[in-house]
Amino acid sequence: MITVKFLREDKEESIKYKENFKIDDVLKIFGYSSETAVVQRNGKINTEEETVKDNDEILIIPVVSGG
Amino acid sequence: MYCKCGKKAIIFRRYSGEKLCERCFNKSMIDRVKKVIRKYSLIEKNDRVCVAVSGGKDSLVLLHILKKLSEKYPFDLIALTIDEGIEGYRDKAIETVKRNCELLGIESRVYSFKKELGYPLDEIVKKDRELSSCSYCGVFRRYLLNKKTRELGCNKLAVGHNLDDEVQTILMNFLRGDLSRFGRTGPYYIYLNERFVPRIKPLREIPEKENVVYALSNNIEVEFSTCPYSGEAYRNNIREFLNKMELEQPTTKYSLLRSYDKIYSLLAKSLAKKLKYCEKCGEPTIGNVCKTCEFLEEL
Repeated sequence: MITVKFLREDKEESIKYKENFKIDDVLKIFGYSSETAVVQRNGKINTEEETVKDNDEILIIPVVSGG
Repeated sequence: MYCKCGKKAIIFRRYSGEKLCERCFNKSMIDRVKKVIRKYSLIEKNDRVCVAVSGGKDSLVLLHILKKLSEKYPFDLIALTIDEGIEGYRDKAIETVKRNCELLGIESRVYSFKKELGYPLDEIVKKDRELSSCSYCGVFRRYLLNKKTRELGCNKLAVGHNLDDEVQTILMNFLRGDLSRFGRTGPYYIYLNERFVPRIKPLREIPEKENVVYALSNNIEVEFSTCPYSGEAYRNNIREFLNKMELEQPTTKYSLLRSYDKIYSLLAKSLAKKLKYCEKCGEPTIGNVCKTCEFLEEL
């Protein structure tokens, strides 16, 4: 399983691990893209092209804030 | 995915094909800001620069980068924060600004809508008004930023506008047919006025996303929250459109900025208006009475 957390939101989702699953695929599931979010995988900033491993923890940080 | 230096990449710039590790990315950010500053002579020797710092990622990234540059080049920095009076949002951000300024050894000044103009934004939104709260907030904020920068003896006002902000504004004004505003998004000023401090935008070529990555990779404490009153529907639509286009054609935002910058020198002279002084408060304005005085009368 992959745990997905969202900055500023008190929610946590779990998605089933798939082989060759990229961070970009995880973003798409939750309506984000490489333009709208930055991702930390297990606490470190990763490119969207990285492949996700089973039991990874993904934190989605939306690009837009302030206003 | 690896950087050209062999380390693991933290960012993939689809628009240039570069894959950069943390160190190379940070160096590249500083180099790009320096390049913009040099290209348009945004900061010159012995300038006193006020940085408009809200506590969000863009303005704090700007403050941290300018601090780094000021250690090598002779110019002074002051952080200027406007407290619009948004409970639970700006008060938290002001504390974040103060902690960053202490860390960097930069003087921090805070001025509030309530004390300077009579009303906090929380009160303005409850009033019977014609325009959106963002319209009042924007006019009042720009008015105070200019006035206070001048009163603090600074000759430049640095703002954290990023590439996304710039291209959204350019496209919004163009699509609305607002050519007067369209001629005002450039990197430099055609007409200067002694009471109008030039606003400089050293981050105008940095994508918003890269400011987030810079803040995270340098452990800069920033407020990632969103203003409770924000929600300019038109800007949100334009942002969505540009992000979609950038995914399909990953140079869209830069191309738009480059096109604009090329025509700016031709456009600005015919579109920019010389500033006059407000009949009521004496601050610079395009009309006879400035928008701040007009709005305060209405409220």
